Amino acid sequence: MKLRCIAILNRQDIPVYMRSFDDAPSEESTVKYQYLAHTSVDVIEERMANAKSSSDLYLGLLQTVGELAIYGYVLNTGARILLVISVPESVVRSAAIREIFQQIHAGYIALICNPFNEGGKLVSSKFDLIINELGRVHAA
Amino acid sequence: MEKQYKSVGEEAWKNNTEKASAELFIFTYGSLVVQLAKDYEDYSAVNKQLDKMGYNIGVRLVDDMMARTSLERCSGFSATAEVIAKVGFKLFLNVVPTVTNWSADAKEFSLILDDNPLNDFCELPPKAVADGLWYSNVLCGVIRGALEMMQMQTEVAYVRDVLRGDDVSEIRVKLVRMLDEEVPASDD
Repeated sequence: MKLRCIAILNRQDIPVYMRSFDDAPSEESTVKYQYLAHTSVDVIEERMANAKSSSDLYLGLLQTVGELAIYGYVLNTGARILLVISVPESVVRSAAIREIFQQIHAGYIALICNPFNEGGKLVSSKFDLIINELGRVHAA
Repeated sequence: MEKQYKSVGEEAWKNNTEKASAELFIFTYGSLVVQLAKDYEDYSAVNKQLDKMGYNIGVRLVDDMMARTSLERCSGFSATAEVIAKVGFKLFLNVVPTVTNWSADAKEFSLILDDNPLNDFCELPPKAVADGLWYSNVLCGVIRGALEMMQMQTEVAYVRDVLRGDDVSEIRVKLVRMLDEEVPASDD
């Protein structure tokens, strides 16, 4: 399983954080991930509309586009986290994906709790470190 | 002597303290610092304000501490340092800094804080680091105010801080002189 991109959107579906782990990042790939994030949002809305219970933050596999699979996770405040991975040969355990989401969630909480954090902009070196670490472990 | 202070501090923490939410305290302090930064726009002025606020807290806090622990008069400045670290900090922040770096004339020492609860979740923006903000400067004021109530005039300042990239946080306490029966001058 190769992690390709992590994106965080706020309640209004505006991307506040986007990080891709491609070997050769290009203008085209950033645009591609932004496009994927937007299309996934529709799927999220659909899933949340007919959700049986809102207690599970993990939304599971949202869609597959070519060789990429996108997973979603909603925070209680309405923000969404999207994870793009390249489709693996072996079956991916949802527990592993869930764990990655939980690590991102924990980092996000620490970021929000920073008193110097300006509303809306996610700029934090600690959060970048966490995301880098995830990238290193899963995208290598 | 040291063991005695440590057990006094721990016992007072266990029995004579009402506990409150740590997160509430941390967030309140964080908002306070951010608001000061916005109001003054000059981080050295923020440092001074935090110190003043700490001073006002310290002059009252020391009576509270004395009421909860039945400590007798300190035998010397080194005993005072131990009381600050093992009883004062323990009672109010539940951390015990290390007392080190005594100067040759035993009038200055350092408190090394490995773990400052005020710093949880906090990340200083680059401008704050560049302009010299000491985030927990209120602690320096508290120590200064408390010692002044105990008839010691001191200068207390931060020298290192983990939020600014140093490996530990260090506060330097310097005894200027003993005050004998004088009313301490107010700060402003």
